[in-house]
Amino acid sequence: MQRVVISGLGVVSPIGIGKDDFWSALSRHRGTPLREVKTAGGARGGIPSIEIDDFDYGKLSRFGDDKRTKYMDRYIQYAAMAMELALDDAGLVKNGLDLSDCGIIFGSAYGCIENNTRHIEGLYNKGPRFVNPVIYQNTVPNTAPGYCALLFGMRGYNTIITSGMTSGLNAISYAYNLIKIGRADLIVAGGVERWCDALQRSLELSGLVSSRSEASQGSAAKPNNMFVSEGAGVIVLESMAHAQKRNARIYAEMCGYGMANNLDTSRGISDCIRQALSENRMTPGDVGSTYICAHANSEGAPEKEELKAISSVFGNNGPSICVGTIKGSLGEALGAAGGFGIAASAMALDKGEIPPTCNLKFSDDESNFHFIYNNTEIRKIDHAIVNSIGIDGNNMSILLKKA
Amino acid sequence: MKQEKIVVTGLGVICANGKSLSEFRRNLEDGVTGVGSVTLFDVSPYRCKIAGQVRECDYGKDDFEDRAAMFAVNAAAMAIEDAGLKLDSKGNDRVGVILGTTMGGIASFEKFYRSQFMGDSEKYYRNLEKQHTFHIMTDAVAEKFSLRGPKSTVCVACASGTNSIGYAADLIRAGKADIMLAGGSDSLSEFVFSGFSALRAITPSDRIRPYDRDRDGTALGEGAGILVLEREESAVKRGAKIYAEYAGYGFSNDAYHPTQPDREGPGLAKAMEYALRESGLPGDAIDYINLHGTGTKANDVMETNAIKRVLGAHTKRIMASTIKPMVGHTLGAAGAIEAIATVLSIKDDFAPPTINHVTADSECDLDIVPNKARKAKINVAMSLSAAFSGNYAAVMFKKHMRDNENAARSH
Repeated sequence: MQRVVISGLGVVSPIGIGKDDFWSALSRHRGTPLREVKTAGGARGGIPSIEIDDFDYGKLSRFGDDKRTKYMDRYIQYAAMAMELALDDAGLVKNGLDLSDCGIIFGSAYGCIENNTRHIEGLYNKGPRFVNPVIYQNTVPNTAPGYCALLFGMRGYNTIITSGMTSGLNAISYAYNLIKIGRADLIVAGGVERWCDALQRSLELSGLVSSRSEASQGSAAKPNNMFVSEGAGVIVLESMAHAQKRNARIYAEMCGYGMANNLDTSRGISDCIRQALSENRMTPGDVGSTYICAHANSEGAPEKEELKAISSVFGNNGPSICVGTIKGSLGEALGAAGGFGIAASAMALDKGEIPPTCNLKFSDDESNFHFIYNNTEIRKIDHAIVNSIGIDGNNMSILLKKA
Repeated sequence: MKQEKIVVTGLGVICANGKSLSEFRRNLEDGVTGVGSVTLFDVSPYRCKIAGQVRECDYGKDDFEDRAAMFAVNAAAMAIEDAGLKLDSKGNDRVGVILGTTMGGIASFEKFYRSQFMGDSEKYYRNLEKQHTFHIMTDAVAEKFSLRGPKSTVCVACASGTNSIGYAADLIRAGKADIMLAGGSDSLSEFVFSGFSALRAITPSDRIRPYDRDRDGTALGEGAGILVLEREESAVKRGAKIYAEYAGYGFSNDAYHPTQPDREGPGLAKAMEYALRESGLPGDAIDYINLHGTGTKANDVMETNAIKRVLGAHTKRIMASTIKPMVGHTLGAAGAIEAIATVLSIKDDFAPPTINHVTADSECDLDIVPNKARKAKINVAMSLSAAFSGNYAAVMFKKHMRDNENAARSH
């Protein structure tokens, strides 16, 4: 078995492009309003959403003028830009390392749905004979890992997971496992999401239900203080041996994960955390000072269920467990959320600082965990756990530890 | 590194030439095609009029269940019964499902688009926001059988079905599940048909002829294939029948071009090499390859080259056929349906035929088992898939050891 480390971070987000801007924005938020929030409306009441401003791939990327990028839609651009940032951050491009055996595994909830809408618009409005083959070829989500492979010459393991909101963590766990069992030395993994109208309508119609109690209510109440966003969060995963051999900077070590399909979130997430711990041969008492980067994207039932789960595992750990969410600043970025969470948690471990929770308040009466609001806290942490919960019932947790 | 043995204990398939495993199995050997006229939507604007449409099948006609989801649920039901699995309706923590697809709930996406963006509100469409996702068929299977283990959807275009099988095996070995359903599902849709037509990838003829000198494109198909994977020891312990042993998989990208595959085949070769590496077997051990074999000019040459890169001189000694002329290109289900054909080839020692063959192509000079199935000892077999965006996947199976021991004794 190999040990697996995180050696590079690439973030394209509504609050910052590049991990330093991202971290700086996360740690400075004091509950101030974010950039322009637009309400898209919809059948059961609008949920605000934001797009990334000022994203010009042509200007941002070293491949901006490369003719191979001509037909990359924004979904692909987010992934490719985050990829480029991650590889640069890991010192891989500058040092001219041969990446031909390296892999790429992404995750996305709605994938290329914006492009797919274009295709179907063409089909219905212009007719079958005038369907654009260039648009058609981008109607599968693997254009993201495919273009990334092309631009960086990476011919190893390459795929994409589309399992709803847990896709980002799912992709990362898949890559982690392949490295752990010695099948690959280096895989870039993470999540990407591109906001569009069809995605917005889908989420609004679904009521963003993420717990059984809400599911049983049918048309669920709108989650409080939630908004939808987009972007890409991508990390470089490497075997410890490979990273050490090239003197790579190591942010954190990844040491376990859990997957469980259960609409009963409190049961599902607690199972996931326990799986992650046991994979690392740990009991809840072994975690020491820990930051839990929660899924919580709103106030209300889902966040309560997640806290219940965390309590059932770590109830006896008290304030050495710090629970927070970055989604008050970032919004719910769906497939990209897992990547954002891992990036933030890796930096938290590396820096010994925990970013504050903004715009949301946990229903923290039932627990004696530590919650940080409004200011970054300097705190050395030993472990971090990142959670994702899907409205389809999927749950995931990933466990990181200080390198 | 010692790996736990994983075996295949159940199969379920729905496709154009078989709505049950036995019908599929029989038609595979008899070379019976299910590819014919498309009736699911109006094909009069298109040059191509054919596909591997599942006949007499109303799935997805009403608003509540997506067609691809129903293929998956029904194939899963068959596989579970075939495996003799007793599942708990209250929940099965250690049983999961990984499915592959290209478009997920595309039939529902078409309805969703019409109802949301074209004001087609005459009919009230329910749950479409859930049904149109890439992962609806996986969710439907997990919900129907109360599966609480790992649930995931691989969406790497036409390599998805193949990729899913290996990922499911990985998860069992990682200790995340004891039993996994793996496979893929896709439904025929005008969304995809129009795209393939615009790419000139589908044939204007009444049949497809992969590996034939005069091949002129592929034909789409639909359906689902599901395999039940579990640890050998648990299969033996519960007295399950074992079709074959899972041997390994690989998936890769040729990083060559946004839309064209590298004709030299290095991407597919790499996927094959990964599979061989995991299996611990040399290329010489392979007896049969189930080809991706779509029948496009580009694919069949690329695939031939890939196989030669990996197997070298051994290429002349293997049989290699494609069942796509009989079922069409079933997209995300292809890897799974074709893996099932591969497993059956090992279990029953026969290679399914590549039907519709007329004229050999010197650039694609494999023994494609033309037109008639062939009885032959098949101990080790591999199934290949290729996809848009330079993606490839390969999965290997081998005879379960007990059969080998018996075979050795009978010599």
